[in-house]
Amino acid sequence: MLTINLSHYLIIAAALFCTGIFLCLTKRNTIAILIGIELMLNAANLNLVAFSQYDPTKLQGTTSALFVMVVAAAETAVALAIIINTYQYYQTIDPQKINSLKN
Amino acid sequence: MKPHNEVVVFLQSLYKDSALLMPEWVLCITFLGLFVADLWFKKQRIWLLWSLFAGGLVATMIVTILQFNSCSCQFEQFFFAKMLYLDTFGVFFKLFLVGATLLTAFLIPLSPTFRAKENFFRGEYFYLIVAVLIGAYLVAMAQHLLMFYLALELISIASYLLVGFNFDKKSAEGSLKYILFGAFSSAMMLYGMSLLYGLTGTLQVGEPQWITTIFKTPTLLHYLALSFFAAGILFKLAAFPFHFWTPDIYESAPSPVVAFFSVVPKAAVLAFVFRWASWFPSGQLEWVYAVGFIAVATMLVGNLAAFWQDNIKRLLAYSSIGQAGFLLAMVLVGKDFNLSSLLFYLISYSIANFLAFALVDIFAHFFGQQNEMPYAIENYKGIGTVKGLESVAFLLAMLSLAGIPPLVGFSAKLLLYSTLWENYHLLASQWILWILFLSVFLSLVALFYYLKVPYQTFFLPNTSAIPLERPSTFYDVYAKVLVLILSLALLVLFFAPNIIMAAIQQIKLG
Amino acid sequence: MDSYILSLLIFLPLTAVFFVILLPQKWASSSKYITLVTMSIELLLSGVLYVGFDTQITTLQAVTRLPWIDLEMGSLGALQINYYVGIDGINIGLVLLSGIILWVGSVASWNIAHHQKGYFALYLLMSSSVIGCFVAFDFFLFYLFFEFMLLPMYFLIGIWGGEKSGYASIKFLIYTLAGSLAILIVIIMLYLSVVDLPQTALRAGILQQSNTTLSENQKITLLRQINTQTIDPKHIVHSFDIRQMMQKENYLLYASLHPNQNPLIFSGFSLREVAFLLLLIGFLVKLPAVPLHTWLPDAHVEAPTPISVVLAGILLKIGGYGIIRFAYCIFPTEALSFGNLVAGLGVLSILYGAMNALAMTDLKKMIAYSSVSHMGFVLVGIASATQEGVNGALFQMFSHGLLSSMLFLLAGVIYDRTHDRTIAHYSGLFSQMPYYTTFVMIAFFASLGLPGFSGFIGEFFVLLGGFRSIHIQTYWSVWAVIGIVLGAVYFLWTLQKMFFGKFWTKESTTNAPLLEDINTREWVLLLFLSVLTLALGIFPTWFFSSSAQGVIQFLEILGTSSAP
Repeated sequence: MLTINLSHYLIIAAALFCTGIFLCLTKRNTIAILIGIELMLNAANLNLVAFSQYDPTKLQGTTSALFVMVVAAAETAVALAIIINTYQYYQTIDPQKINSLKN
Repeated sequence: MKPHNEVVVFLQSLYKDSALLMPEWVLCITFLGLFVADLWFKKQRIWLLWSLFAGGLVATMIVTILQFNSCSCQFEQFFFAKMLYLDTFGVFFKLFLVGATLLTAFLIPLSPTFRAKENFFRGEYFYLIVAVLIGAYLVAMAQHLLMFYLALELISIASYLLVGFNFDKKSAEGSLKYILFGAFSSAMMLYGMSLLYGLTGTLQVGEPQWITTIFKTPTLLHYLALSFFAAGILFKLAAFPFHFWTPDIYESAPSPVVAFFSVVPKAAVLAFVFRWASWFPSGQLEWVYAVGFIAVATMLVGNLAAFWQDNIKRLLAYSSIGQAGFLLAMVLVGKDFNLSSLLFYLISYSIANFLAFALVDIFAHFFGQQNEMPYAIENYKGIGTVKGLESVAFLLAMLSLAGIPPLVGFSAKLLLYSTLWENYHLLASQWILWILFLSVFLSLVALFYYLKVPYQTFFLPNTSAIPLERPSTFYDVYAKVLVLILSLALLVLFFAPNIIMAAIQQIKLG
Repeated sequence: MDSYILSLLIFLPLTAVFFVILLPQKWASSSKYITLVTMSIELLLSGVLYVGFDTQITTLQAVTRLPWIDLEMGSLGALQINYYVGIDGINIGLVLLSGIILWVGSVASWNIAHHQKGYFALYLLMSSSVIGCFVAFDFFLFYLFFEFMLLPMYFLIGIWGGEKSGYASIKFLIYTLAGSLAILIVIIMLYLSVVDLPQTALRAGILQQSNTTLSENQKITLLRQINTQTIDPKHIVHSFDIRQMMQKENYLLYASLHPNQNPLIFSGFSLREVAFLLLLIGFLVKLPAVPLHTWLPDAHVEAPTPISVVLAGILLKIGGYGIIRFAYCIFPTEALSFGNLVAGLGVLSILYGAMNALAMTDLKKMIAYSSVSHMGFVLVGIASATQEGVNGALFQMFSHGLLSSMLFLLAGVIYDRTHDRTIAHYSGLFSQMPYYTTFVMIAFFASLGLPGFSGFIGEFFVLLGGFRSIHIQTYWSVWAVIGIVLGAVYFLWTLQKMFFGKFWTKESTTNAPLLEDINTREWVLLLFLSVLTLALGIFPTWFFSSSAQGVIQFLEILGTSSAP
């Protein structure tokens, strides 16, 4: 009988985190990169909630996860606004084509 | 009945603790006041908003000073359910942060956007800066990882927006890059934070249990978690290997915002990092190796890349990376003199940096709006004969950043080297001596690029057509006065460093 | 002697800077009068100082010691910086030299045409810091003047210099700054190792009044308390005072620079040796000694005449002075053990400089390399650590100050008229400019070491010291003699090529009517310097009487006073 223990959560979180990083590094679409970042945040959230079981107060991790969700939403809102703003200037959201700043 | 009582007691303690948040309340009121005023007033509002902004900052400063005085004679304590920690250390950093923000306020009227679009200027500009400051205040006091994360995000989200405030193509690109890099690194930090939580069982940093687990028996997983966690911090510090965003963002954002970014978030995060250094048990060198490596890499990257820049804002961006390396070198050991040197260096660096950015804007305005590249260094050719005061002030700012006497930057460098030497004595690790030699060598290298602009202004003849001398406006007088005050500060603080040091010495490291 | 004269010497030019800056633009040309008056007063004051100098006593004279910066650094202790100036036998001659050369420079600056206000303000700033360098007895104060001198010089060369002056001035700045950063590291090592005992006692509450001195017993107890750390470390006052750095008792026992114990080894050297070498490098750049000399020819070629005069006349002397005052006095044991290195570098400079001077086609470059060659003697003299050698080194610095200024003035004379300094482009100038040629002959013969002129005395005493010294090998002195012969060759060769024979100039570079003989202003300067060098050559005791006591004391510090 398979019991779900801490390591399962951690493995899934790690997988999510890696997927997120992979998306961020490979996608040539800003929205997809944002999705990647969201996945990374969710991986962290999963960790927090999973670890919360072992915290004597049992609250820190869970509450943190709630806060992180709110922050993530705010961040995404700002990011989308900025993406739209950029699109007006460049007519594209491919970050590689948005390069008028010299590097 | 019992749980209810606990809640009441908890709420009462929160209510009591909120008195300790006076400076933050004042900032919040400023934020809201600006928000309302921005909606309310339609005409002639720019200066009104500015006055509200500056007034709010002055009020905050006063309250912070009161807090510092009461703090230094009375208490050090946790509050808000041990989320925040109030001590002279944190309050001094807050004082520094609000001072820097006030300087930013004085820089804003000089920026070309402010001058040109006086009537269309957006009020968000002001209250987003206040939001960043609130975040920085909380970071300086944070003793809980969640609090730290939230405060850092408050800084970040407001910063992403502020970068875009030139409302042009470059600015849009800058803010896009900033938010992508920033969100990525903060997600990494959060993941690291969650791992740390798992390893220590608490998010409360600085507790004995936490310190023991983190520092005493580090395993590979600890190092991994700490490296992830460091990502967000290094991003805010613009330190290696998270410095890539800096030149682009500095080039595209409005200069006052850039000056603000180069000081305030960095100082707040440094306060947090320094607390870590002070917890570290002496005799173990992992912290010294890790921080030392990052410091050295940051110094090298910043100072070596700056030389190839032909845009003044990019040059200053790399210079600020290099300076971040020097600042980090003082966090190697958490001794009280490390802290004194760090604060002195921060103050000296910020004055010079603010002066430099003020002058960048003054010159950009002088070169004219129609100039495609108002920040190109070649514009500065032969300008020394036309704008003497400003050119000399630029020279002073650059020399102070390079650490040449008789400017306060030299005293700061002297303290930096002394601290490194003393740390070498303390830990007897030759690694620190090498850092000392390297930082001395790099401050020589730095002189090459710091003299790039003065070389153009004084040594080369003027080739491009200089705009005709216009009748001096209010802005010109204002600019001259501001430049004069900041330049004098650089000189005076060299001859009387005690003005700052006396205050720094009142700090007690908890 | 009145102690305020030294402060007056330092601060008078600084005050004059403000007057120059505040001059309205239409009166900009009067800034040269302000400078001339200031420099004349400076010359007068340094003369008064020299005349009033008591040659019989060994203590510091005209001392001013005021607390300046007192920075508390928590458990690091406090660092105290004093405004501490004074004169003794070693620097009195150099102060007089500064007075003379700065005055000469200010007269030679008469023809500066553009940006006069800026030029003279920078010149005054530089004057102030040059003098400050020579009289400071607080290492921080010295370093402040030492670094502060660079920037005015950088701009003076860069803005008023020749075509490639940007390159030359940045090279000058980087070289000297690299040197001074090496010095800065040593300053930091030193001050953190050295304790100001009276001040510490005061702060720890052992002494109540600031003017009382510590008895020997109190000192010993205090030292024990400091070293066992029974005194709170925050009461320890670290000192930049070089007189305290010279005394072993002031070093913290656990400091790695303590003379008796060297617990810390760095790359095979003890830290004291590393510190000595760093100081040496810092000052050798300034001197300059081969192989750290390459900035000098560039700087001289591009600099305007008065700046060349000041650069060769005094700025180079700070290198030699620094080696005597700081490197040797603070690290005597290490200095003697590296004697052959120092002497070897000196001989290398003498020979390499002379050979290069032989090969140069540009008159100013030739003179610049002759400077390198002559300053090599200073190193040999110091390294010999004998009375003759050190006295000779000091004399050589003074004499070279006069002679090199004269040489650069002369090079400036011909450049002013034709804007061409190539040696091969002239011949037989004697027939056109007889007075000029006479002065050139005086300067050249004095420089190559003809007896009767000051150049001879300096080199002679250095060689005397070198042969008698037990700290350096005798063959260094033999090689130095060969250097003198080479010096005679290039000076005489140049003299013969440019001034004797049939009059001829390269047509593309000049036209004959412009070749007027020297004017009154040049007459005054050249005559003044010629008389001085001749007088010193005939009556060298004028100089030696003032330096004797200082040198004796220097040798006592080195521990070689009784050596043969």
